[in-house]
Amino acid sequence: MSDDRAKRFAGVYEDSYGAIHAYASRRVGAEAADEIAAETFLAAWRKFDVLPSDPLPWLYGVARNMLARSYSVNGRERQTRSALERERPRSIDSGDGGDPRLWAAWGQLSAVDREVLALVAWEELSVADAARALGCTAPVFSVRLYRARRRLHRLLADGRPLSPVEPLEA
Amino acid sequence: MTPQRQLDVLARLRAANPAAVEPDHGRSDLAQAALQRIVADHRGSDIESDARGVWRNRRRSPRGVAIVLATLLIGGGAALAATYPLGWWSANPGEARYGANPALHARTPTVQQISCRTRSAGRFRCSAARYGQRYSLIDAIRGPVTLTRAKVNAGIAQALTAGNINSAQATRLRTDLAAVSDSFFRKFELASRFGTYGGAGDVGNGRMLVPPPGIPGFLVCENDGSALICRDLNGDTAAPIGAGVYVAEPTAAWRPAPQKRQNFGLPPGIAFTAAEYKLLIDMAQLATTSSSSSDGASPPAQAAPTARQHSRH
Repeated sequence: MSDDRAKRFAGVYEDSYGAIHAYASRRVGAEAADEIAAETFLAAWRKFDVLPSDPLPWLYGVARNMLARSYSVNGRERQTRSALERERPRSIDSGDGGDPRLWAAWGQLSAVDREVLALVAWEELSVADAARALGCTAPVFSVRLYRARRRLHRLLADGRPLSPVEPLEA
Repeated sequence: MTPQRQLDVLARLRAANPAAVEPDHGRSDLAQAALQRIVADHRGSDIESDARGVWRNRRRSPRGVAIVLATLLIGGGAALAATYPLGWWSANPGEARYGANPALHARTPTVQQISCRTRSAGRFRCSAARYGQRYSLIDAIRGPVTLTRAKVNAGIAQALTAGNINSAQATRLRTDLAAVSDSFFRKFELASRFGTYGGAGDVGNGRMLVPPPGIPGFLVCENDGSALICRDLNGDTAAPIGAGVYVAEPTAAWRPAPQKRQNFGLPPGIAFTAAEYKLLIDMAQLATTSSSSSDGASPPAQAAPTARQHSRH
């Protein structure tokens, strides 16, 4: 393999590593995030020749799959919930964020809602990029984001979860 | 709810970000060490991410290619020269010699990556959890190849019809075939129960990494509930058909060593005659020719046997 290829990959790696590591760290803690990030970039290295010009959303998608796989292949996890249902930021659970009400509300959101909100609030992705990371269209993501924000707001306002069948418009 | 109130929710969430991005994290020592391991991965040059396919590309020797191509032509295998009077195992830490037991069958594991803990000498309990030595699934133990005179004749006729060989080549193959006795097919089937995997710790450029003592380069694994029970594949002469073959992923604990040449050979007690070698070599050569001329565009049914990552004997 050429040095040029390795150099170009190193550029992508150094630019994106912090974001991918933080993404994984929020979900499984810093230690396990090292491995998730390494596996994500190993996949990127193997696919480097066909990587999109802006690889970050793609990398988030890979990291998300790595996280899901690391859960789904574990028998005990599989017996209880689906992979993404298990996704809970450890630092959030430990209350490191300093906003207990927010974390209490966060804990009541569905995994899908949390993922949608995190991609925008923490990964700072645009709607289009977040949609790519999740493998859906931008309009679909927009709807999911709107609903997730509304559910979080409702939880923060009165601690009452919004029923899945409850109308979104107040 | 107004858009402004929704924005407040996101702003509050942003402010409470539990793991802010460190822009220079990718330049840290730890991240750079991981980067070096990643770019040392040969599979990076392959578009195909499937571990089985890339592993095949990584370790196939020219001789191995000829062997695999022979299977492409007539669905058989081939054999090479040396014999191993001291037993069927490899002293090369990057290799594993094994034998399959056709009487034993196992369901092939689906877990791609596992971590293992020693259970007893040479035996391991492995799972998808992340601890200890990591291994990746590369293959499953294959059953022996049954080759008969009729199958070889049919393969020759098929290759001739398809234009992959000419009539002179077909005649030579038939002459080769007529020169071997029926015992050849029994020996061939027996030999095809044995195989060699190589390339564990191979980092390219003539270098390899050697695992610490007690860490096998290859494991053969069977399902056991939510975990896998694995053992060192090297020297195992009773591997169940279908059991998973896993290769160790080098860690910082592995030490560099000069790369040893892969040494494929016949298992103890099996030897081919000159006439049998002539048939095997002609089969392999013709398979190479037919594969090149068809640019590898073989029908899937014929291509399937090539999806093995090692030398079959």
